[in-house]
Amino acid sequence: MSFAFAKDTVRKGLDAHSAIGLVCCALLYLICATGTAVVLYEEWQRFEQPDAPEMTSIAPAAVQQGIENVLAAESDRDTTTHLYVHMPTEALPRTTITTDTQAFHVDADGAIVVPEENAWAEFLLALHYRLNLPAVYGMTLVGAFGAMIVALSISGIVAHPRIFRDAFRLRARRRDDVATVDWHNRLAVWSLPFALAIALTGAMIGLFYVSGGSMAASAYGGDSEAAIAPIFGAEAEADLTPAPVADAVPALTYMAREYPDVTPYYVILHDPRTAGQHVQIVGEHERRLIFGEYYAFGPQGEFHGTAGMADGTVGQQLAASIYNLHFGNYGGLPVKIAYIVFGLALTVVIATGTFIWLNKRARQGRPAPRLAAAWWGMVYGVPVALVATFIARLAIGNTAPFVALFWGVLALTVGVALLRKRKCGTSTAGPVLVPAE
Amino acid sequence: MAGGGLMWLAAALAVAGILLLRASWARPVRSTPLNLCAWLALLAAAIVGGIEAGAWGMAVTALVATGAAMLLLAKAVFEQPRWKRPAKQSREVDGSGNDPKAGLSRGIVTFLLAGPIALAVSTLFALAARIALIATGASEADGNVAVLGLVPLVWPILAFALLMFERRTTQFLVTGAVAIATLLSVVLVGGQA
Repeated sequence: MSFAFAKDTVRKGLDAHSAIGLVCCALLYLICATGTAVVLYEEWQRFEQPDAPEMTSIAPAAVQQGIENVLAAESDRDTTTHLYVHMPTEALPRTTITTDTQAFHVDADGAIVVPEENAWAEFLLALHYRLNLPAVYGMTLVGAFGAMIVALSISGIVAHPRIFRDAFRLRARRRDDVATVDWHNRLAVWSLPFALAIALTGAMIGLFYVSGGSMAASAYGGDSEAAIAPIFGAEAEADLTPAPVADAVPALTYMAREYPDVTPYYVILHDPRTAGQHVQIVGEHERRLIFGEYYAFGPQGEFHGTAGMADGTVGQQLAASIYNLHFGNYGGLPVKIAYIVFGLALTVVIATGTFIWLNKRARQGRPAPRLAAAWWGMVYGVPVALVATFIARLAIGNTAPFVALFWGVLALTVGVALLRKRKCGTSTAGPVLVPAE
Repeated sequence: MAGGGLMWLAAALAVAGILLLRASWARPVRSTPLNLCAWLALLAAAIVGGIEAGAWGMAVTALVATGAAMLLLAKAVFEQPRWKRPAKQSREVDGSGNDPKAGLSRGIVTFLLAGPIALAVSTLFALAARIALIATGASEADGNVAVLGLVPLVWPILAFALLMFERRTTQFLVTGAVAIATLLSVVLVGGQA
C-alpha cells in the first residue's frame, strides 16, 4: 500500500513551501529561538535574583499578611485594581505579590523583603510574545507566524514525497548540501507533532485580537471581555465603596479542606478595599494540561463556585489547555527539557530551510551571496544578541536597555556579515555557504 | 515522569512503535506487517496514555515517542559515511524572459491573497462555524472557542490551497466562494449567540 502525490502537485507544493518559508523565515527563526529559551522562564527568574526568599509553601495567614503589607506600602497612591499573589511552586518556589504598578518578594511570614527584579526574563517573554511591539500588533504578528508554521508543515509534507520513507536517514557527515537537506527534512518530520501543537496553540493566543475581536464585533457589541466570559468566566460587578481588605485566609483554608488534591498557585484580589472586591484562587490540577481552575470567593471567604476550566465544556477545557501545551510547563523539568530539544530542532529546521533555498539558487546559476551573508548574520545574530542582553543583565542590572541592545546587536551582526561578504567579493562562482561545512 | 503504571506502559508502547518503524523502514522492501505493528503500537500508546491521564497522558506519550525518534536520529548521524558530492557546474539561467516588475506585482497580489485576504475569509468562516455550532445546540463557550481555534487552523490551510493554484482566476474564485458562503450565513443568521 502506498500513497504518493502527483509530480505536478509536489512541484507546486515545493513552490508554496519555499514562498511561505522565504516570507516568514527571519521572524520565524527569531520566534522559535526565543520560544526555546523562554521555556526556562521560571528558572531564568531564579537565576536573575538568587537572593529572593524561597520556600516550599506558605501559610494562609502569611499570605494575608503579605497582601496587607503590600497594600500598606502603596498607601501613597491609588489602590491597585488587581493584586496577584504568586504562591510557591516547584518551578518557582517564591511568594511574589504583584500590583498594577510593582511587585515584591515576601518571606514565609508575609514580610516584604525585596522588589522583584526579573527584567531580563520579562524582556525575553515579551520578545517571544510580541517582538517587543505593542501587544495588538506584536501578538497578532507572532500569531500569524504561528499559523504559517502550520502552512509550512502541510506544504512540507506535500512537497517531500520521501519525507516519511527516509525518516531515519541522516547523512549529516556529508560535507555538501545534502547534509543541510537531511537535517532540515529529518528534524522537520520528527518534530512535526510538536511543531503543530505549539504552532496552533501559539497562533490561537497570538491571533486573539483578530479572532476574539471579530467575534466581539459581530456578537457582543465590540466587548471583547464579554466574548471570552462564557469561556473563562465574567468579572463581577464593581462596587467602589471603600471597605476593609478581603480576607484570603478562609478561602485558602476552604481550598485545603475541600480540594486537597488541588494546589493553589495564585491568589487574585479584584478591586481590593472596595465593597465589590472578591478573591479568586487559581488551583493547579495534577496531570492535567489545563493551566488550572478558577475558584471564586467573596471577601470573607464564602465560596461562589468554579469557572469550569477543569470540568466545564470541551471548549473551556481546550481553551484552558492552550498555555501549558504551548509553553511546556505541564510535566516538570523532563517536559521542559523535551520542549527545549524539540524547540531547538524546529529552530534548526527554519535556519536550514533558507540555506537549502540559497544553495538551490546557487546550483541553478543564480547565487545570492548578499542574501546568504545576511541569513548567516541572522542565524548567528539572534543567539549572540540574546547572550549580549544576558551579559548586560549581569553587568548593568535590572535596568539595562535590553530592547535597544538586542535589536542593535542583531542589526550589527547582520551588517557585519554583509560587510564581510562585500570585502570578500561577490564572485558568483564562489563556494556556496553550507552550514554543514 | 510523574504517573502510574499505565503511563509507563504508554511510554514503552510509544518507544516500541518508533523502534518497529525504524526496523521496518530500514528494510530494502518495507514490511506491511511490521509497519502495521508499529502504527498499532503508537495508537495503543496514545490510547493507554489517554485512558490513564486524558489529554495530559496523550501529550506526554507523544513527547516520549518524539524523543525516541530523535535519539534514533542522533544514532543515524554516525551510521552514514563521510562523503562529498562532486561539484557540479552551476547552470546558467537565461533571465531575459523574466520581467522583474511583473514578478514583483504578481508576488504582492499573491501575498495579499494568501495573507490578509485569506485571514479575513478564515475569520468569516470561523464566525459562521460558531453560528452553526450554537444553532445546533453547542454551548456558547464551545462556539466561542471554535472561533479562536478555527482561525489559526483554516487560514494556513486556505493560504496553502491558494498557493497551489497557478491561475489567478482560480485563486480569486476559491477565495470569493468561501467568503460569500460564510458571509451569507453570518449576515442572514446574524452573530447573536
